[in-house]
Amino acid sequence: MLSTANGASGRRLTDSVHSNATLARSSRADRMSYALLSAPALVVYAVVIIIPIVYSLALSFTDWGGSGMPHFIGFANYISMFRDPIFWHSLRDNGLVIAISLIGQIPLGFFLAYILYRQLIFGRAFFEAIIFFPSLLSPVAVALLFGVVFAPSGLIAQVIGMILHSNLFELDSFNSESTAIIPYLIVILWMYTGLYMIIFLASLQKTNGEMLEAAVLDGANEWDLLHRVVLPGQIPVFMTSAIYAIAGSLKSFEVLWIMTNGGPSYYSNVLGLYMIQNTFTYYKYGFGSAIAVVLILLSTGLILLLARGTQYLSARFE
Amino acid sequence: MARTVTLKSLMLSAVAAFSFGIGHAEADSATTGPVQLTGIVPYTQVDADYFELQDMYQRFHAKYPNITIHFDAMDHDAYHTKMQALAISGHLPNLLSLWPGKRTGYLTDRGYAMDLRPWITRDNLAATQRALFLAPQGRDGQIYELGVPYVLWTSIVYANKALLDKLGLTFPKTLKDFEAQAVVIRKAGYHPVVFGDQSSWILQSCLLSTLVGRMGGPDWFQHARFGTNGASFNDPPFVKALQIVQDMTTAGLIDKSEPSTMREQALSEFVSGKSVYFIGGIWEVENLYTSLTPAMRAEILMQPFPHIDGEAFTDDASTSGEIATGFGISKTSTPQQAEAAWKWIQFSMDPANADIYLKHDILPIYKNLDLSARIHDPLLHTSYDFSSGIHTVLPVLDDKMDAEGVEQIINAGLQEIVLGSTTPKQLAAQYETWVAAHDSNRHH
Repeated sequence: MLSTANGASGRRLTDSVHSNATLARSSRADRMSYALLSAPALVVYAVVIIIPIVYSLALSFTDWGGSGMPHFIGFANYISMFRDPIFWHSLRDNGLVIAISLIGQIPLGFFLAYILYRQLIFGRAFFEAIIFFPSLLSPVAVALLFGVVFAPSGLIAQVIGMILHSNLFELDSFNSESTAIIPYLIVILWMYTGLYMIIFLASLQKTNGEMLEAAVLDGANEWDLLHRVVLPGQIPVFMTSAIYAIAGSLKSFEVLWIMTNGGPSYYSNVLGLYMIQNTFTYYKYGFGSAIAVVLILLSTGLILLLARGTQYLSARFE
Repeated sequence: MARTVTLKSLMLSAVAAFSFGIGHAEADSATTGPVQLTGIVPYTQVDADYFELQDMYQRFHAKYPNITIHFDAMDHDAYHTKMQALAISGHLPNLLSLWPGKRTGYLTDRGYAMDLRPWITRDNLAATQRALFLAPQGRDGQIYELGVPYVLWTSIVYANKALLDKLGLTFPKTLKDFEAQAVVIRKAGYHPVVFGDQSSWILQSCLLSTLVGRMGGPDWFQHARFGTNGASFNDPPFVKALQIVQDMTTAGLIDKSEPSTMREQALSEFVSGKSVYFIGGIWEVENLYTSLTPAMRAEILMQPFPHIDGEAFTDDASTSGEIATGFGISKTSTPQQAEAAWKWIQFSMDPANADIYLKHDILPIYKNLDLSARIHDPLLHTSYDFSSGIHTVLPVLDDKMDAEGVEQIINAGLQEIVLGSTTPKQLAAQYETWVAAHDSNRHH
């Protein structure tokens, strides 16, 4: 009727209606396909990530010790945790680890990648290999090695003792509450800088070489190239690396466990180790879950903060 | 009359013999059919204990071919994690590897293990085993585990006799003598004593436990543990024991670097002749045995901690220790399985099988059997003489008290005492506060 009454416009309208219906059907079909194809991955994600997080959250409000029924105790675990000086000291140590990752590993990794990318030194392949090599080593082997290096009568102490002609010399510098974490910071700086170097090197390879040449022709020096051309393009890579660094810093504890066992006393403890001790040594699964929840909240908060910062920087350099 | 009495006696005897026969036959019939058992052990297939287990099981299976035991071996920490999971899921193995104290409290305190006393009484184990191996383990006197009759002494002072002779010293008789030696030893360029307390339990287990036992005595410790008779960890014996650790540090016996030194590094210093004394447990004998030549092994002395002035428990042939780990029986076992499991436990404690332990350098102590003539290595002989010569086993703190309080407060606090960050009185008060509020010994 419509087409008879209105001619071409009616036909266009009919065609449009048919087209919309077809579009709607195909959209629905597409959505069904997307849902079906991503369902397996989502199920796995839910089972491996979401459900354990929710379960941990629930457990964090109980006093469950690994057997019997858990009893609801409200926020008692959290109150206990926030009153525990070991928690605050561990948080402080985690802060230092994050700081070393964000202002040590990542900038140093970028700096080394830039030097290699711009071929500012000879033997690029050699330096690439030796800088990346530590990140390939087993954390356990590294921890055992550096545990001996930094030990009070370890390698460094022996060398100093030889210089001072004292075979009883002992390195006590890392025995205090404020300095006990320092050897670990040195180790992770050495171990993981190469990883970020490789990430930045891969990203730098995609930089438009002609753009750099053009900038040089326009009179840009190396510093100008770095901070006006190269750096802005690496912001997303910095963001990704920072997320990786924060997540790794908050969860890592294995190297520290073997190097110092969180000691002396609790001076080099971190939240990951604090969680393991409370859960599997003292059988306080509820308390351990509360620590895990705090870790998740910390990670999420820091990453959101980073995302905001990245957005601001990206907008500024667009 | 006489004939009546005789007839009655005969009838009674016949009934008794018949009943015993039935009982015994019942016990035998419980295991004459094929029985399959499972067990998990907290050591791996490369550990010496595993090879001893293999030999023992081979002989056991030859004697009881109808009983088959499948053992799973795993690392110590993985064992505890797995056992907790199995307990929760109701799938514990028949044979449980148990510690006599709190280490496997997650099984024994929660009702997963059988009380072995009925079997011990029935089969008169007291005839061949020393009383200390049949001492109560549970709060109400239960015995959950039995194993090789061996004490894991946690506090032994190992001395390098060659170094002592070189420095013109002898093993100290008293703590004062010990402290006085520190100056002489350091002047000569050696370390007086090494421990290696990086894992934080060494100072507590290998030194403090003996000091507490000597200063207060086992009776006082029991009262402080359970909070009875007005005893607490604020009492002078505990404070004084902590004070001794501080005094030993001030005197230069304990180095401030000990909280950061790995046990392996400390042992290496002792073995390489850089330290005169090494304080550790009986488990170090195996490490010393593999690290030293036979000539050097003959130069190792093993003594309990010297006499301390003012100690309440004046038996200086005393040191802290734990009965060796052993096997217990899971409550999930059927009566037939339980009986078969008991046969395994009894077999492993039988003095007739001492040769298997000796073959693997484990030195059991039996009631009526002296093995010293069968031990030829000088270090192992010294170790056996030490074990046989100790009269009293003093309690080990982390064996009797809850792990959290001991690890978080005592172990960490001892390191802080050595580093000078806390005082004995502060640490004692902190620990008593925690025990009063949380320790399961006070809150059964």
